[in-house]
Amino acid sequence: MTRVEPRFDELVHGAVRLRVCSMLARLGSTEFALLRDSLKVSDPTLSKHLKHLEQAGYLQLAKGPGLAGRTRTWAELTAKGQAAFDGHVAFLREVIGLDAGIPQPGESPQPRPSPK
Amino acid sequence: MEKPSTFQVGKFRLADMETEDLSPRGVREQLNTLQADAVVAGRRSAAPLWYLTAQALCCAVFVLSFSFGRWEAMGFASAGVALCLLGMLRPVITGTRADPWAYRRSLKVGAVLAAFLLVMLGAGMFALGPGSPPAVPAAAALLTFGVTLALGIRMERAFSRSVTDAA
Repeated sequence: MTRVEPRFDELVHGAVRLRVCSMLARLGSTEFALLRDSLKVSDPTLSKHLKHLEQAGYLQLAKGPGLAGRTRTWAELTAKGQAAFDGHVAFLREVIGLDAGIPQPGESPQPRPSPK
Repeated sequence: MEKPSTFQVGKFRLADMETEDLSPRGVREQLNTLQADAVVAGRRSAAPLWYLTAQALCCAVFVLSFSFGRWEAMGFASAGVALCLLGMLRPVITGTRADPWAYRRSLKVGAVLAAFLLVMLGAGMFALGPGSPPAVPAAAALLTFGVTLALGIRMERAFSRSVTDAA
């Protein structure tokens, strides 16, 4: 399990932004429509939050191909965004007493050992 | 301006305005929501059944092409181009560039699939030809289609699980 330094991040802390970062951390570059449909938020809401994250340098937005020749927006976490997200999740896990490590695929989260 | 009061959460000291949902209960809810999103992400990142069927069909046509005689090049080219197109279209169809070949679980299944296809290619090169009884290439194509589809579905399931389980 990789140990990550817990760090509260005010930008990632917002409910929608946290979920956006989580999806992008799992899926990599992801289309706007998939994010919107998976998180069940409206287009303007998602656009606003993606813009905030982009302005902070946490993600990159790019235009790419879509079906039927339409152009789609793709979002991808930057290294800075990934680090901010990992640190914030580690912080959340620390709050509820879980070990701040990020479990690798297949591992379950470990409870924090109680002090002796 | 009044300085915001601070609040102790574990070893962290935060200002009140940041702490509206940082109680253990609130945090647990947030993490549960993220886990629910992870399940959705896993499901949405998998290719649809029609895509896997099309892939299996291309592989079957490729194997069948060994029996086409002077048209075999046409068969190879068509199947090959279609497979490449499907690969290029995958991100557009699934909405994500997440790739089954990048995850250990699905890569293992993919390796078995690749090995099977190599065996069928070898069988096609040495055992199939324009003079083969029709039942032989048909059986080879059917076998290729069935196994490719089954392993393709298995690979996508492994991929979905990996996406769901990833941190």
